[in-house]
Amino acid sequence: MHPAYSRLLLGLCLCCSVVHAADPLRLEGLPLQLEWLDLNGDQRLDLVALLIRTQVEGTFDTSYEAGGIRGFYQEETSKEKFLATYLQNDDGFRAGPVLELGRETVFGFALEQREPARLALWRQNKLQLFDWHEDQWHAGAEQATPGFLGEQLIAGSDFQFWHKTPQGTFWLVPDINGLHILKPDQAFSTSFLAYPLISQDSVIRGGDQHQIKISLPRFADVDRDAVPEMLFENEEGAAAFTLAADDRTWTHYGKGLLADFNNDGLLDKLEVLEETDVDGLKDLKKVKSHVQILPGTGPLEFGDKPLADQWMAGWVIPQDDNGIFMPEPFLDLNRDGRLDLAGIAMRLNFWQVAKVATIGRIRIKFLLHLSQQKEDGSFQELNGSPFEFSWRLNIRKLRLPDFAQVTGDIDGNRWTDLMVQKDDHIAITPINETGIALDQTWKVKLPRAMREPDQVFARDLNNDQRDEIVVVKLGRNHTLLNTWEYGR
Amino acid sequence: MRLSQNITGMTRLIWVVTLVNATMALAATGPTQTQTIELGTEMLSPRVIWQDLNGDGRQDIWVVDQHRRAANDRMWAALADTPNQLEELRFDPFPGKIFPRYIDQQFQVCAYSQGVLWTFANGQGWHVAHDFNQTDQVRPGMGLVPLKNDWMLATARGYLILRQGCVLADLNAPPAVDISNRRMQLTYPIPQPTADPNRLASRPIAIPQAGEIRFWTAERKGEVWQAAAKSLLFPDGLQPMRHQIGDLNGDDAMDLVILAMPSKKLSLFGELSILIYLGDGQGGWETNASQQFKSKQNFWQTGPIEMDRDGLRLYYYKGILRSIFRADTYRWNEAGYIEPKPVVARWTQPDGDRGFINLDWDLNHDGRRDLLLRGEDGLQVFYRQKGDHPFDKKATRILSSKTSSNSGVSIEIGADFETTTAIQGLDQPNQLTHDKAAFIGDAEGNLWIWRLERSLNGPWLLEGERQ
Repeated sequence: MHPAYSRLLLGLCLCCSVVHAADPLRLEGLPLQLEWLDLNGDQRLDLVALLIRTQVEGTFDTSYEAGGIRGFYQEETSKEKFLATYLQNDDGFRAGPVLELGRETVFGFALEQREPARLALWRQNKLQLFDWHEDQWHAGAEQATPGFLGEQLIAGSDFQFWHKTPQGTFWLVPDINGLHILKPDQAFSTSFLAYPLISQDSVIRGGDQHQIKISLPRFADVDRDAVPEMLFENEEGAAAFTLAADDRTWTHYGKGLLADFNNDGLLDKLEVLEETDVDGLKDLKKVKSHVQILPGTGPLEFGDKPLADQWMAGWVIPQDDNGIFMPEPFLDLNRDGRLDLAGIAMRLNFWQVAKVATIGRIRIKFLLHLSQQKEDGSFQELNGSPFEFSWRLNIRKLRLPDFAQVTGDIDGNRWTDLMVQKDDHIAITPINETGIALDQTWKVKLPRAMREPDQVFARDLNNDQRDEIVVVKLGRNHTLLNTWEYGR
Repeated sequence: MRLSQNITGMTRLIWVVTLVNATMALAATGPTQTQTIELGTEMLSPRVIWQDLNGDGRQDIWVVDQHRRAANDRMWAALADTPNQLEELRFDPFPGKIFPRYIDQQFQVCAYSQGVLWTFANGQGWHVAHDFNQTDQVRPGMGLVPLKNDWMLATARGYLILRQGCVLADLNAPPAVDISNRRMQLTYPIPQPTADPNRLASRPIAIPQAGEIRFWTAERKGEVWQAAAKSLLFPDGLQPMRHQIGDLNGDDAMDLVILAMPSKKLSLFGELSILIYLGDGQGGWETNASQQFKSKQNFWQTGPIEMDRDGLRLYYYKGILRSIFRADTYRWNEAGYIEPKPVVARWTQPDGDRGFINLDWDLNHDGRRDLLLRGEDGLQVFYRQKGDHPFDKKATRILSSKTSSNSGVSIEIGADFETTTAIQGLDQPNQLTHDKAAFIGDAEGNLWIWRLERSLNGPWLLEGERQ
């Protein structure tokens, strides 16, 4: 056999053994929200999708004019929302029940793992609960939306309104002066939390524009009791509130990013003291940030002796400078509980700006520096870092990817791997104890219908400690979803 | 992230290639009348605001020094009758928005902060005129929005209209809500006066996620304002950008024309779409557009829209290096549709200021509004013509003796829609800082062009020229 031919055969066999692709799932609408939960206890995540379907009906009219015919087209569009459930089995996904929601505003839905599985669907003026049994959603309690949101025109929402904590489940409803906190399991008993001063950074553009921005909380454990608190943050500081009605609050004034770096249950504070700047693309490797991490000594209290105080490669702090969004820099590379850090170095040159203005989209390259936190709290850059990442920017979506979106433990070695999305394939570069294994990069070739995918992310769908690659491609009034798994 | 270029995200994209610096125009021709108001010598960077303070329908002025090193304890104000009697108002510095009011035949300095309206009186200092926090609907931290002589204060459901610190009326104008990135963003329709004093209207709000456009109007019945919101369906894949309301088909019902850009695949050379919504005769419109076709203009080069029973006219600049002014007229055809192929008038306006196309003034008093453009020769008026072409390159006059313009190609996604994603602040036309010009009408309907300049011997001069 010719050596080239045998290499090709070997490659083909390797390729077949490495990746297993399911048949693409066709969702008959465009996704407003996709969530995963194991509904029937078979250790496989099932898919619940809030979808929108557009129906266009046209009327056509012709007229005789100057010896010819002119046609005029008039169209009517209607958009209807529905909630579809897809159950995963050995052969992929099969369609389950569909809940029609019509044209009304739907804030979103949340899935809750309990017995039986619960679905909380927030239609604008009410919240509806559903329980899953016998492959169907069964309607349960309903509650009217409190406060002003029930009557407002909602343009979009991605607020985490549903929270399951050891103290019970909470439904949070933002209002103009504070949050309504409802307990669905206690007959929707309600309490109200006024927004802290820290969240009151309203912006008003007088005259023609009138917008008010209110900071909403994220959830993090502040006081080491394994129960998440509501954490409001802005440029001036942070304030934390317990969800339970014991009225404990903590406030901290000062800059910095809060995260639990050393996994001790208390939030630590990351500050960037200094950064280098560079002139051109050639100097990008020289970009560095002086990072200091102060340890949490109590709820929103920080000690003076830094956990880490060092220069790190890349720009670390997420910024929204000139409209390009940078993601938060934290990720746990090897699931050891200690947070690792990512730094980014990128710059657009004049021609790239001209190109994005001219054709509306552009593929940019940036350097991704990954640093692992060692036991003493200091950070060490991985071998093989920086990794040259490539990402497609759209003039309307000038946003770098979230790290969670482009990483995942595809091969199941506990180290997260990097996924780079290209037009007709996804390149996966594994990371292991020795660092970023660029030479072991492998590809998932996308079928023709899935090329130039709209979303790619990683998720362990069958509880085998290996993340599947999930690819979503939007079509005209439908969505294709495909998954690939390593080594099956 | 360091981006040396000016590139901003969803909100707007500005790419400025400076081609030519300031140009000085030739001397003006024709009869003009001038007026000069002397401002104080000590001002570092004055800002002049025209506003009707005493409710007589004429534009009074007030002046603040906006320089960051300026003392923040002074303001100047004058009524339109006596523009030269600029009165100096002194007050203690206040951490909030300062503005004047004219009460009991005298000026008073007011401020608003955190739901409280303050006034300043000599000897007494700042004192609370009204505390709106006592009504629970008002959110602390919200500011005041001007509405003619009154102010509006945002609440959860709309606005309270305030006159002299008292609640005059309650306007129902609910905001559109967008919750993302751990922020709740409320976009309120901003009531603006219309030609009919008993009617308010806001700029439309686009809700791309729902494929809708929402209009807000209010009508006064006795002392009560009745507000209504109307929703129109908008095609997939388009995002509204500009709009105009007028009677397009001569049935006395107000029709609506919307210019829209592609919402996803956007390019510099992509053309805008025109959508026509005919009026239903009851103050609303057909829910769906009756016609939709491509215009000839790009998203970054748009301008005013005119509509009447003669058809639809779009004014804009084209070209990247040369600024070519275009007036496209779309007429009705025999089949009863707007003909998608326009009649085009075009000429090169050397160093044209692409952000400035003004059709608000009738300068030859023939009852029709003329066109103002700025370019190499300064400010030019083009008189409106009869026939197919509304304007002609030759029927022109240079108005301004001096106009400085920072000419350049400015590429900008701008929208006169309030959307939850694309926001662009517009210059308030009744404000003036130096190196710009303000266009202010007087009670007789004449156009005055005002400029702020520092004179050789010190004081700032506010110079107005009647056109």
